[in-house]
Amino acid sequence: MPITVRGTKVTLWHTQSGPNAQLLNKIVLDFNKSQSSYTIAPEYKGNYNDLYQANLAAINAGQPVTLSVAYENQVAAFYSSGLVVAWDEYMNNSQIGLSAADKADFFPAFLELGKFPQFGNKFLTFPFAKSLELMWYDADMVKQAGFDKPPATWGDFKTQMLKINKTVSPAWEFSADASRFATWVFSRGGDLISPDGKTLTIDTPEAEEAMALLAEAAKAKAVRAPQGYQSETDFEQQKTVFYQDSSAARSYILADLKKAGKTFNWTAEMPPVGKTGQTPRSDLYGGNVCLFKTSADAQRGAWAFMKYFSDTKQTAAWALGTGYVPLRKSATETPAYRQFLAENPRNSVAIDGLKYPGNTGEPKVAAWQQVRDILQSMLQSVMAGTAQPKQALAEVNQKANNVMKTS
Amino acid sequence: MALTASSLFPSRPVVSSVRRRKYWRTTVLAYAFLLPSIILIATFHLFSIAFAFYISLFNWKVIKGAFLGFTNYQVILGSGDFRAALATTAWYSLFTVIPSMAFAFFAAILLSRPIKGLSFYRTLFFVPYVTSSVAAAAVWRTLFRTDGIFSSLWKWIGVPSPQWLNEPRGIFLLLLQPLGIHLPHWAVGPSLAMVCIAIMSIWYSQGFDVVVFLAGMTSIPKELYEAARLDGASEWQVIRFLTWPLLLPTTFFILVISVIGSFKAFNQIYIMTNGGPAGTTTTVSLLVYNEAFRYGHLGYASALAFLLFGIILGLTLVQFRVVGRSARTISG
Repeated sequence: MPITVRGTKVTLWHTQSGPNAQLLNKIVLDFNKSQSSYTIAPEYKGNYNDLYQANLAAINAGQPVTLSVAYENQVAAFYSSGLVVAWDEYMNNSQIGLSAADKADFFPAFLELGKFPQFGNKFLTFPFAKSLELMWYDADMVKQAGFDKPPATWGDFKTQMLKINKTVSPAWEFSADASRFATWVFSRGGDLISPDGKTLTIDTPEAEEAMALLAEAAKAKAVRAPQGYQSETDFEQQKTVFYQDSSAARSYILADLKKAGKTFNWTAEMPPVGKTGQTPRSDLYGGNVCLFKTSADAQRGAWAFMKYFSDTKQTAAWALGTGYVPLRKSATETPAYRQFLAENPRNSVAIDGLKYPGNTGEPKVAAWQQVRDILQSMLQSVMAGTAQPKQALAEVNQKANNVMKTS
Repeated sequence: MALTASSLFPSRPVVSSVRRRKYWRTTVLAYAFLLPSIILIATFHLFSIAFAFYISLFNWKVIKGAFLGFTNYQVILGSGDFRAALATTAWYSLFTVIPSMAFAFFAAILLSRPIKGLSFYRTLFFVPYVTSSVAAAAVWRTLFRTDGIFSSLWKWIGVPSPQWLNEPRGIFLLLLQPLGIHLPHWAVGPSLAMVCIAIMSIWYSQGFDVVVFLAGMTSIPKELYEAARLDGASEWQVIRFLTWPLLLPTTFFILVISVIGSFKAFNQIYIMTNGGPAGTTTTVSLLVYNEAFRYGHLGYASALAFLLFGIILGLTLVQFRVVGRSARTISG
């Protein structure tokens, strides 16, 4: 995007492409026009991994950008190396920070997500493109199988999934990814890390229950975890009934079905819970923005932009245009968003889901990327029947904590 | 004045000086022409290699940390992940190099015959090699999807389709289990996913191997074939006792290049499985990539890269000593 620089230039590296990037550029242009002290210059750097590599190169060349999208675990590694600045001094600044009313307006989970307990609860990651993991259902198939509503507990899910598998096989699909595992554990009330952020807790009873279900489903050939976006395609083509993915998948599913001229009753819900009466809980994921140590002026400019970006009007527009969830509650009360929810009632699931207090993100430790790969391998081994759930979890827990010690 | 050689040929020192000047001028000119390449190689290869070695001696995670000496190397040699990746790399090498050379040898024999449309067939074999390996791998990944063409073919035959790139179980296990034969863990072989990648790699490398074999065949004197046929040798005998031995130096060349290539293979594995499922296609190259660019362990990854270089160098030297000597002896 061609930019005329006025005041201090603040580069923003991000991962948004296509219509999302166009919308981001529009928000940036509006911000740049709204004041003359700073110019935000957004640059698309590929996917999250490409962006991480770009950051590694820039850091080692001694020229980090001021603002960059990153995952929490990447930011933990940057902060350990003394490369990033906490947002606290800007957010809590009496003149330029967020007011108490502003903070109360944010969905609480997003303000919690940015805090890193191992670094004295410093707020290191500002929410940017956030979504929530949901369970997507083919409501027609669920009804045909004799169930009047989607499963509320994982026990109900097992019953429905195994019964439906007799007609639609595999009844359950997802892409094998550690985020699925995190959701299974969170939704059963478990956690993946100790409260002090120092020990990973992979082999909990909640995790054992989740892996036992996965192994049983795999044995019954009721589950499949294909590569890439095939599970989404399979769901759209009614080749599977239960499909786990981000709330942001809604816009892609809608677009694909419209393109194919296909209609059926599909919906999404918060993932089932462990026991009846338990509060729903899911994995909050997506990109955040971190603030690299550059110049005091550029850092102030970066904060000015993030404050603008997260304001009601902008976060509502961002959520409407991209399928991500808005960062503030007030965004859902804007006329445009109300109309959107009226026209797309399915999307209210993610918004309602955000109100649950227990939603959380994956461990914010530098070792997490490596542990995610270990977890992914474990899921695939259990599904292939080459690993026993309990033993695999114990091994992964030990391996993950060894990685924690050396990271 | 007595006649001496120097007085008879006074111009000799002059000739020598001219020659010396010419020699220096030629040498300086040669280095001047080489200089741009030397600068490029020194900057982008030699300096990078030296700097990577320097990084490998540090606890370099995101940024430079403490000096570790050779600790990264020691850790890698004791690492289960490294041993597993090395075994995976060895399986990949075995499943690509030998079949690829065998197919290419017989394809080259067919393509050396005066058949109709020879140029077309030769081009057809070479096309994959000039295609982008990333694009080709992306196409093969689609073919191996669980709803792809191979799965459809299996279903059409009436056999349940394998999981192809999603299958972490060993190929020997998958083949023998239905027959009631149970294998110990070490004998299950590479995963089906790895075999799928090997199939793509064989397809991809055919063009190069065939062209080199064909070039080798042109150097075999036609008289030898005529003599063999006059002596009543069958086609198979001609291939077995004439073509094959005389192509041994060519075969050796392809072997060395292919083994090096297989140990460095990255693109097709990254695109088709990204090291999965269950880590069964994580080769050493992919491990280097993951450690460096996904986990930010730059020092550890550099040490891994140097160990991989050492392994490839060692294997190449072994091939030169064992196979190379035999090839030279047999081919005469």
